[in-house]
Amino acid sequence: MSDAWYLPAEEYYIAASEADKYPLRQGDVLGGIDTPDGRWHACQVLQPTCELAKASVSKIQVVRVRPLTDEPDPKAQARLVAGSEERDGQIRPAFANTFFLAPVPQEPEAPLVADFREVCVLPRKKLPARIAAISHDCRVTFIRRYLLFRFRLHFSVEEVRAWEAARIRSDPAFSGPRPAWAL
Amino acid sequence: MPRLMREAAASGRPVAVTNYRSIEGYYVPEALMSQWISRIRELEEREALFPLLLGATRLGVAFPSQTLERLGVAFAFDWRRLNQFQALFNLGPTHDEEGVELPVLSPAQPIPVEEGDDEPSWA
Repeated sequence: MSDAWYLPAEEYYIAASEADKYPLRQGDVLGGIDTPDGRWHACQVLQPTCELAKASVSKIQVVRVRPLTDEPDPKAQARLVAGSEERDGQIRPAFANTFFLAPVPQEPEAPLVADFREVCVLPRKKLPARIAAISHDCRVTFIRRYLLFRFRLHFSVEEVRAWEAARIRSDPAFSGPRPAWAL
Repeated sequence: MPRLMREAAASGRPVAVTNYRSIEGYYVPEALMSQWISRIRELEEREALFPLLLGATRLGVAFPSQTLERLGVAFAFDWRRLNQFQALFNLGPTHDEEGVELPVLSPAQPIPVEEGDDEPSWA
């Protein structure tokens, strides 16, 4: 099983023709928003999936999504895309506060980067439209990277996937297609 | 023996332990032994990286690597190639961002917990 930080680009998103079957979940990519810090190109849902199903949750946390080209240095871009780097003969996380996003289908030439440090809380009613629903496998990589950023804890893809499978199996409100590893 | 150990520690070099002019072993000062162990570990770490670095070089991928940079190996950045490469080569980290070896954690077992629907009223 791969222990890479990120999936190949073609495995990031649910096909647009299938996306309607998938309710909004953590990690989904939404359109741009205006914030006190200015306009964000796009944003990604940070609120836990189980919270999104609760009617009482009126505000949703999102993180900022930037075009990869916001970082002008190609070497730094490479570190963002790889999520890791070799230094002193060691493989280390690079820019642990970021999550690389493959281009959304609407803009296939524009890779994106989410920044966990920049969080905005939006009224649910003012959430921008979803521009891409991430796959369940992509969500596993998103959670894994967030655990690294938030708690400085590193877990394998396999472990995080096992937790997510257990969560999905025990979630009575789960709707939409299930991943093969959580049937 | 204590004299030999003191001499070895002072010189920082291994000293032969003899028995009637026949060398029966070597006494290695602790500082030197630690240095050797650390060098061996470094070499083992670098050896484990060879497939990754050779792969990046053969495929012409701009994987961020201090070693490749020092060797003057550089390729044009192409996000697609790099994305495919990192997914293929299973790049799990060996160390944290500051170079500290990652701890080996015992596998955590999830215990699903169903939440209640009640909420604080936040007066």
